[in-house]
Amino acid sequence: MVARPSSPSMAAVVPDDGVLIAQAIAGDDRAFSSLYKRHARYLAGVVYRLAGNDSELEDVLQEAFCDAAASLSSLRDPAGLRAWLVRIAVRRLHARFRGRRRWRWLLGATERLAPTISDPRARQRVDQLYEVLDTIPLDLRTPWILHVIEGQTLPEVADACGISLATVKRRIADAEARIRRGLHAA
Amino acid sequence: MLPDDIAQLRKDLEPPWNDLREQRVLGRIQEARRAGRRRRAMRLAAAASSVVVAVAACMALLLARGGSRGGSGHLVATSSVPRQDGGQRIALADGSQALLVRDAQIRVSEQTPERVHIAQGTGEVRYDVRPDPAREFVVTAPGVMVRVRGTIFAVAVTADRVEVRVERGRVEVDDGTRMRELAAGESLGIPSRGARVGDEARPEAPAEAPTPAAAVAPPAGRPTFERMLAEADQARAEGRQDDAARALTSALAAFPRDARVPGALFSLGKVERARQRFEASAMAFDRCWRSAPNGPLAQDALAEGAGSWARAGRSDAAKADAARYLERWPDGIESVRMQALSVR
Repeated sequence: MVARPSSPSMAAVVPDDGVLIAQAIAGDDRAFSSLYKRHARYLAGVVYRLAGNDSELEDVLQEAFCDAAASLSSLRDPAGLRAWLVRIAVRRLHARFRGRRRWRWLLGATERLAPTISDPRARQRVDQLYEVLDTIPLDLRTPWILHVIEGQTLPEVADACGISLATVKRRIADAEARIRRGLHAA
Repeated sequence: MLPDDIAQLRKDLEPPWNDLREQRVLGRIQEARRAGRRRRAMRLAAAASSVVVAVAACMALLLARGGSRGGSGHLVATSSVPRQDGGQRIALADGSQALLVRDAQIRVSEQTPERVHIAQGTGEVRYDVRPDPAREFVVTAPGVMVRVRGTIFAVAVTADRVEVRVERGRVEVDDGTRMRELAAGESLGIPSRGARVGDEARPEAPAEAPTPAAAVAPPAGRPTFERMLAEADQARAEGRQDDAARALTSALAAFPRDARVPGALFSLGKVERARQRFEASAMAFDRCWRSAPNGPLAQDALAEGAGSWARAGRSDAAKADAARYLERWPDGIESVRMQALSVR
């Protein structure tokens, strides 16, 4: 299956994920690179927002794509590639950070915030949100970010986190409650 | 919590991601996958029977014979002969020679049938390069890159200056800001940027034959490839294309055998294009795909190179690259654009 742009002058013939996946499974490194280029930026955004800093972004991405390359043949639905990559990245991220007693979720992020908001009151509110998010456990924060920030549906979050739908709902609700309490107390 | 807060959070948390980082991670992924394949291959090899060992020995013997003819793509031999005047003559396996005046220092960091790279740190060296259109011969001195196909030229490095003199043929001299071509009888003096580049080009040892397993790890205190790429990354992000080009050129000169060289060359091609130096851009892309013809960037580099050659007004070179592309990837992503370039 090939997607063809309507304008002949654009002239690019872009294979879809299904074609590239089949080629990559057959050993075509070039096809795998195309898949990587298509999804790396999106995945970098997700990982960055989940990790809250840039320090290990490249490492997590590398591990996630290496895992994906090794088990690409197990992917049943090519249309679900992006969600599948997110699931792998979430697993990798949790494996890295779960054992750590403390890491600053907003490390690096706060350094970059000042220029993006001119209204000091709005800035203060968002800063409080960062502070609160930093206190929420990873297991609660991940579903909340995937759902609220990334806009994933609840079933997608459940799939990405490898937990049941009921658990996702419970964790997101728990995170919401903690955020509200934190913002109220601030 | 207001939707505005969420929107702001989403906006704040855009990752500092760009092409260079994307390529860097891709290079690491490919390297990790290659390492995995090597490990699997080693496990298989360990389990093989004595019959397989005997066959492998035969194949190794055949390969060794092939290598001695210089056609295998691996490193070839270099010999060093002292001269009566106290200098030294380095004879490369392709027939080229480097005549070192006393105290001159060079390091042959790459020597394959496709490419020879010599890093010259100090002193004067006269290079007699045997003509070979299929082989690129590059000499890097502090802040300067000299590229030839077949000619005789000399490079003299002093504390504050690099001088290139051409005796026969033509050479291209690139100082990171612009590229110039010198013909026989011409010379060019360039202020040395030793503080930035000289350290990288400084040889780690007096001239000697390279070994296939030559280490690329820098001595303590020298900038790492990673740091130089990060500098280029930062410069690009801030729109300082000249600084980005300089950092990338320095990184490539200092670590010509690093596994990330193709990625750096690809970035250099893009940076040079942003600087409107289309010919330099095309050459960087060409070096990129030649350095890893089966690598993940080869297809894109060939297509980008063809585009840059076209913008440089070199339709012959653009057609050649486009033809190469279509030959290898007739149904590739850029095949239609390459077909258009190939008939211009």
